[in-house]
Amino acid sequence: MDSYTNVIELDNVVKDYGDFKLDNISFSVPKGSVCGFIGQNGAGKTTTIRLMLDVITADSGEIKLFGEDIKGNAPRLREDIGVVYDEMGFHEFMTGKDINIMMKHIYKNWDENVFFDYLKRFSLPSKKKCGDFSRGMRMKLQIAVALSHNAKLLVMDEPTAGLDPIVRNEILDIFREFVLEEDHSIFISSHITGDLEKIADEVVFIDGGKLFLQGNKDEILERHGILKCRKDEINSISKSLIVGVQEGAFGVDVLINDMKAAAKLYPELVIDRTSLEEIMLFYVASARR
Amino acid sequence: MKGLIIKDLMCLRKMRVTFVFVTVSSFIITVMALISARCGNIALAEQEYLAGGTDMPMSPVHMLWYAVSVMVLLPLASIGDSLTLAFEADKNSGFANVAGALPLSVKQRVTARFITLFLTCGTGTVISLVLSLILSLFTDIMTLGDFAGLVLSAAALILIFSALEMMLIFLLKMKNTDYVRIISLLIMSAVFILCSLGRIIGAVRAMKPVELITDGLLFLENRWFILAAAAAVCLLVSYFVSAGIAERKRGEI
Repeated sequence: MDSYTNVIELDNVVKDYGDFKLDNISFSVPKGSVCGFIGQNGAGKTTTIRLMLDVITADSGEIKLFGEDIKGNAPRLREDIGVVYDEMGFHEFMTGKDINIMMKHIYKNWDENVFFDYLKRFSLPSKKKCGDFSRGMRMKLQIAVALSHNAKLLVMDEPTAGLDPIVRNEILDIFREFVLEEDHSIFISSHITGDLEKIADEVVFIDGGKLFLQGNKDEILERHGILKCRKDEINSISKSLIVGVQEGAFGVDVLINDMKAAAKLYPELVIDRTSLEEIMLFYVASARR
Repeated sequence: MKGLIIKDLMCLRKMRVTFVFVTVSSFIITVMALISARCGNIALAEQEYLAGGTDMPMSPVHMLWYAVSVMVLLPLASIGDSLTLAFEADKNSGFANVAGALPLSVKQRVTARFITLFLTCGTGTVISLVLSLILSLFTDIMTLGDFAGLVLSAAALILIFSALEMMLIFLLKMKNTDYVRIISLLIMSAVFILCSLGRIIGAVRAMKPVELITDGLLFLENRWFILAAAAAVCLLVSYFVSAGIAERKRGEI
């Protein structure tokens, strides 16, 4: 099982709900990396995660985790996956101790010492009902559970949504610690691109059920740039370089997909570095046009 | 899988108080009534009835038999609805997401729920049988065999009820457990009416509805194995249907 190179592989995955379709999604996440799965609400992030975990079945396509097809293997493969959702999911009457009792009878590799250590580290009382926890505490509880059974892959669906910046940073630190182990990987979906910019190595952009950009985060950020020009200058810019255009009061911002080529072709124009958020906004806007 | 069963039992913890209260109170009331039938007011009323000094339509001891039968079944009935409570608790907490990420197959999750059902129903049955043993020492209205027959019949009926509930939840994707309960009850009532239509019509024509109740109680006391066999069939069908549908409609239920 350790001979795989990609911890997650999706190949032409389709899931059609009628009113929403996940359309031919293909991407892979290299082992040992942190992959940010970016898209606005309703883009298909949760559906993709549910497909990956085999909670729902794909209409077509192939999904591999740890190099193995999930069909028929999903329950076994989930032993090595820690999952964190945006909502807690545990019964509100349950305490940390209750969750430990439940989980140690479910996961073969459950380590209760690790679990209670995390509870202590996160200042989570083990005898308090989790229904009385704040949102941040609930998230930390889920992370404690996800990290207490020797998982090799963390799959997280909007884990930092609705959290204050301090708790978000704390959680990001935990993720950084997790990926220090060579074979540990993280797949994290979020619409808060700032968080992903901090920790992701790879990024996958999705919108309206369609994947429109994927690759190494640094390469994507190096490649893309915001070219600033006047309205009348747009027509002189090569169409193949333009991803999207945003008109402002004093000029036009153009997202270009090859900053080096643009700098050579148009040395007189200013090209600024961009962020994942800007890239997402431009791609989404151009896809809707 | 064991973890899910433990979780389900944790969900049912709030039922403990109700179960203990119903069991203890019904036991105390029954013991008091049985003592009264031996040497108290009920015994005096029975003597008066036998001497023909009263116009009561039925012997007080006969009426007591009805009451005791109901009292014996109360503890079991109080835990009879454990299944929908567990489903309801999962729905309210959004546990389906957590369950989907656990290293368990859909079939194992359905199996866990059935095992929880057997555990709760089994516990209730054992406690009711123990109480029956004690009660049988206080009376000769009913033998231990009669008590046991009643308890086992009630357990079988609860299992049939739960098997129906389980199928409805999975088959119709019914999220509202109140509807599940009502429809299950209606199905069981309809089957009962269809099976004993002749007797019901006969009792109504003869204006002797009490005889119908007496016959029903005698059936429960002596023919529990018929209900047990029906429960076994219903549970088997329910298990395979539920597991099959849960697998097919993965993520929806």
